[in-house]
Amino acid sequence: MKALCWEGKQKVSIQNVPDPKILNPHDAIVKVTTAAICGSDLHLYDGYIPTMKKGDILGHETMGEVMEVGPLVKKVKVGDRIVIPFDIGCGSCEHCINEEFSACDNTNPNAILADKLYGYSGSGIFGYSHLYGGYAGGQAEFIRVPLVDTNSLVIPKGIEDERVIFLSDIFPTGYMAAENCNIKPGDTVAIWGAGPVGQMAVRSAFLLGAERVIVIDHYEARLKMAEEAGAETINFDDSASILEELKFRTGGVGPDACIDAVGLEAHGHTLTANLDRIKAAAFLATDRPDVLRQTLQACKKCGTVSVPGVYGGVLDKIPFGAAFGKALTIKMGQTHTQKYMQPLLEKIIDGKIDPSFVITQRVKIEHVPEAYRLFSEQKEECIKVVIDLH
Amino acid sequence: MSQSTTQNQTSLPLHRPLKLDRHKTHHSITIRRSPSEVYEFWRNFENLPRFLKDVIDIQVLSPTRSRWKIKLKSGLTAEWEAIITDDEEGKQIAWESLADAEVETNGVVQFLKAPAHRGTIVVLSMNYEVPGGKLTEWSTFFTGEDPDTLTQINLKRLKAYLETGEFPTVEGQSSGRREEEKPRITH
Repeated sequence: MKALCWEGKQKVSIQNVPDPKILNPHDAIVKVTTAAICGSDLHLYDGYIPTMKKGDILGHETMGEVMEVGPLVKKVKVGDRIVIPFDIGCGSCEHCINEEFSACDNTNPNAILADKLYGYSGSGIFGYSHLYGGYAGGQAEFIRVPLVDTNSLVIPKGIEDERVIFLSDIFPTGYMAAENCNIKPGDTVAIWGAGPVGQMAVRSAFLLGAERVIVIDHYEARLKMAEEAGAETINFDDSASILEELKFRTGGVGPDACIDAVGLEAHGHTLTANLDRIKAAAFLATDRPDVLRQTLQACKKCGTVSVPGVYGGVLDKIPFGAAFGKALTIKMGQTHTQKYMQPLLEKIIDGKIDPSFVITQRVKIEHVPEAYRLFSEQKEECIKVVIDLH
Repeated sequence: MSQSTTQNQTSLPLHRPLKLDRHKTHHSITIRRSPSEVYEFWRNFENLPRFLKDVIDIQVLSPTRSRWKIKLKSGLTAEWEAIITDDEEGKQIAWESLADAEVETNGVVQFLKAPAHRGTIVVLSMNYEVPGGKLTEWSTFFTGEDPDTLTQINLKRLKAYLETGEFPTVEGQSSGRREEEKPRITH
């Protein structure tokens, strides 16, 4: 089959690789019909996530048709159309029982590595480095899905792929980010990053009852997409101080909640942002957390900072005193996708949201390497790429 | 105190039951299965090679004696006979290698009831002494783990198997690598 393989920093290619096969009794093999490139794939592309190996198949936003199931699969059937969550849960450990699927105890075969790095390992993740299990991803014609009864949402007939593909990651991720804000009537939510997760967070914040949503970015096309959902926007290229601007716009109070939908590769013009770039380039730091700093600084007293953006390592100069001094609540982490897939599918079916609005490019598998380059370099014109496979 | 009362009590805090020498390992893991289920699985020694990555084979010679064979990093193997020195149903199993065995080892595994409905805390403590410098060779083909790390991996495998019915793996999956370029993950 054809698959998108990681070759090294900023180098991916399409290769012919063997078709996947059932390796465990709860596995399924899925013919991928639609996949997508995630903003967090760019962290892999740019070499920020350690333990990638040449030849790894990328992709964790995937859906398709079940071709084969292992002998112990109970619910999913051959022929089912399923969306596959990016995180891999076992469905039976303490965390999965508590719907904390991305904290699953049992799906990362390399858990001992993450234990040593983070204290305890999270779940395995498709196509997201050997630290997260080394599972082959879904930017390929076929994918093996472990523990498929837990890691799937069966899609009813008659709903096009593009309306539901984002249940695999960015819609639940944006939704959990907004849910973590504990939104109350009248609340203002500020969101850094108008990329795909930020866009989903904007709409989710409104669905959850936010009065105002203010989005910060510097790509006009992305800000415009946020405005279409009713958000106010700040282009940080035009703003002397985002913090002052937010304080002014919220009547001196500050946003009730701040969402960092950017993560470890923040761009910006502050002194600390420039220092981060230099340190990361010299391998003196692992992450460029300037957005996280701003959210902690901007958030109102006793407010909430929600972090769906990905961080990987040890962060420098985080204003923890501001977080403590204002008694902030900070919520974060990989999304427990399985918990959100069914209720969010219902919102799609009910017409409350159609997540396909975010798509700007559609490509065939042969053109995915080019799409990575475009997504990495042309954020103005390229917001979300979907891959049309079968 | 009746057995059932004992099983309903949490046996916390954990203590370390063995006085340990130079080479020692202590690890614990929580498994969502009852102490009697985990005990039953462990006590059937023929189950152990399924989750102990380094163990090739365990032959049960009698209700208390067994013969162990493990693989070493360089492709060599080591074998010894062990005898069960203590066996309390649903609670703990202790063993030691017979005198003159190539590998000198003793250990105890305890099955403690975890709080609320969290299942069983398995506590594994082992001493091991491998003469002739073979200790550094005690590790698997795949990963080159030391015995201490291997113990942690083995306990995780036990948990995964008892909770899910399978071991998580990516061995044999597709990639854009040729077989000889397979990544060697050293833990």
